[in-house]
Amino acid sequence: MFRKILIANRGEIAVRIINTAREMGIKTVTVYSDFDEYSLYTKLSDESYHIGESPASKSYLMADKIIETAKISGAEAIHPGYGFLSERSFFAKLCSDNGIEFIGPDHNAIELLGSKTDAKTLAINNKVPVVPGSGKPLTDISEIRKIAKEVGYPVLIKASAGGGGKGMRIVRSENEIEEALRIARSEAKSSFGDDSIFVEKYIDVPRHIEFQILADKHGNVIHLGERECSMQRRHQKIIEETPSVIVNEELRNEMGECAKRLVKASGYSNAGTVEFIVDRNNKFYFLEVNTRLQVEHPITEIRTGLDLVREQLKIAWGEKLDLEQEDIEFRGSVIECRICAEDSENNFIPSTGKITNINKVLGSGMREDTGIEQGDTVSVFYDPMIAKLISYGKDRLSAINRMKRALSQYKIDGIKTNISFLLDLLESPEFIDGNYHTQFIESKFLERLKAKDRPDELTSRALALAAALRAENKKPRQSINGTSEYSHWASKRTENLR
Amino acid sequence: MKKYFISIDCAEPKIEVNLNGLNSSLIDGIESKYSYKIINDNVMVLRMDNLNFYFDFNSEGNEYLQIGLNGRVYDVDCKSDLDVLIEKMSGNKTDGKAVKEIKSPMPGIIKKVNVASGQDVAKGEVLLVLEAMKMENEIKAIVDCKIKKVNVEQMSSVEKNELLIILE
Repeated sequence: MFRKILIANRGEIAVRIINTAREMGIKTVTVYSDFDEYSLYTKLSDESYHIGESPASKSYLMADKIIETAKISGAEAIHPGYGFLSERSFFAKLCSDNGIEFIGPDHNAIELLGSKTDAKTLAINNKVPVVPGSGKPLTDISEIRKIAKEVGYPVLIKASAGGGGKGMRIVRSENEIEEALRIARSEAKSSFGDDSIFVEKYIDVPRHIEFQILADKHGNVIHLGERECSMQRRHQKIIEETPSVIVNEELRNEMGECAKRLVKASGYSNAGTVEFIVDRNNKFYFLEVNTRLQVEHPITEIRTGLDLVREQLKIAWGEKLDLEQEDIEFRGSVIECRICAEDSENNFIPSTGKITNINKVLGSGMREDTGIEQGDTVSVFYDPMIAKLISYGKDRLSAINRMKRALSQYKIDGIKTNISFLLDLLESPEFIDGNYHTQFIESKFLERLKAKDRPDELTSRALALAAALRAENKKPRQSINGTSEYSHWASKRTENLR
Repeated sequence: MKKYFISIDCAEPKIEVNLNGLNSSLIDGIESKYSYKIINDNVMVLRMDNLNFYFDFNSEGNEYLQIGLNGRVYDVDCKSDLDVLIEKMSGNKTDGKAVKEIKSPMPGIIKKVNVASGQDVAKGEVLLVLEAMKMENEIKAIVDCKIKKVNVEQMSSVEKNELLIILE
């Protein structure tokens, strides 16, 4: 096994990787920007090297600098975590060119799967369903009509040069298509100077369901079940769970086999995630492959009892998977909530500042992955996610109740967080029933939040008393000898503690 | 007896809290026994009639004191009876009429005079510090204004309703 690895990342995922490496007796090298000089993950690793300024483009994205650090420190492999350089094929290639093992797939597989059109073609060739549609830009109206009819309404028409919703139209029936095409093409023409159009089936209220796979370098591939990631706001996942309430064993096997076929065909090794969208009739379509460890990987770890980072390291070292598909046992129900430093009541603007206090009670059945501690500052430089809470339950309801319990006991001060928003989501009837989709928060939920519940009478009285007592204790009082009673009282207390 | 007026999430009418000093309080007329411990600047545990409340406070950079309880956050506005009095006296509650005089809300000693005649002051600026009942109270400008005359000096003792500052 590797003796020393470098982690080309920061924050909670760096901590996560360090933990497994330590358990395996592997030394860890971390790199840090100006901002992260004494961040938790650096302190937990064996060695740390400064690589640049706080903005990621001047530190964590500087591939050459990271390779150089790996060489100086004698690290044999690089774990890229997620984000930053993790899905950049040039970085994987740079590693191998320098004789450093990239803990992830081969650069060719990253490149192939990173291209949406190549990945889609690969899927089609391997009998993995994709969203049906033209697959190529069209200009002939009768041909567009024909394909629309084939895939079935509603359809989505979009300008081939489009982006940002421009030149995009949902067409719900055949008699709307003429008009919709006319508008879409003129918008496309005026915005992009190109009036060719893609047409594909429109998936209304889709779910986002992904499969975790593991592939070794000897052609063995297994899947570790699904993750339901439909609770999103602006394409950012907020709550993930496994199993998905809509996936039964038959669907799991079917989707899992598709994921395995696709990954195998791409010449992939290491951990990866195949994402699907699922329509209201439980028909699924391939979306894309994430060629790295996912943020939400812990829910799969808890449900399968596996350590995905350990599996990644073993695969990168060249070991064969010691598990077959039949060996994978799924246990209970697991939920992850992402705690973010943001103001949920004020358009989710990121909240920055010094964390003056953290108190939490995790207790049985809870896991927390975090990279921050009391006294740390949350900055504008990096992702606002500060912690992931993961709850396990023998069934879904126990997992939900446990998560609610832990969130309500999680105190963090100095910055604003989305904890209250997460609790609202967990308490929504749609979540409780498992009846939600990727547009749920934006189309329904945010509106509902505006009518905020008032605290009950007892809570109000307690809040009022607490505020009064705090005000009472905040007052600077002059005592006869001129020192303030407050500090006098404080020093007395310290004496008693000694 | 210390009296406070508290509004939670801007709700009216305000909740009136009387602290009796013997770990007993009257909240909107309901009497409660309590004990509490301030763990640090952010955390307080309150036991009110044997019911536990584990609060955290977040006040930096916010208009209101934010009190967290069981994962929920409440915006809390807390004023003592003196605060309310000062507000009234310094004209915060005038019905649109321009404030011309600042009077003492209570008897005490002027600990500090921060302004002089002819000076322009901005809203929120501390004009005077009045010590009463061993507590320092800041008297702030409610609006941007110009000082016409300061009637008191440092260490002068003042009576309730005594004219302190005249504005232009």
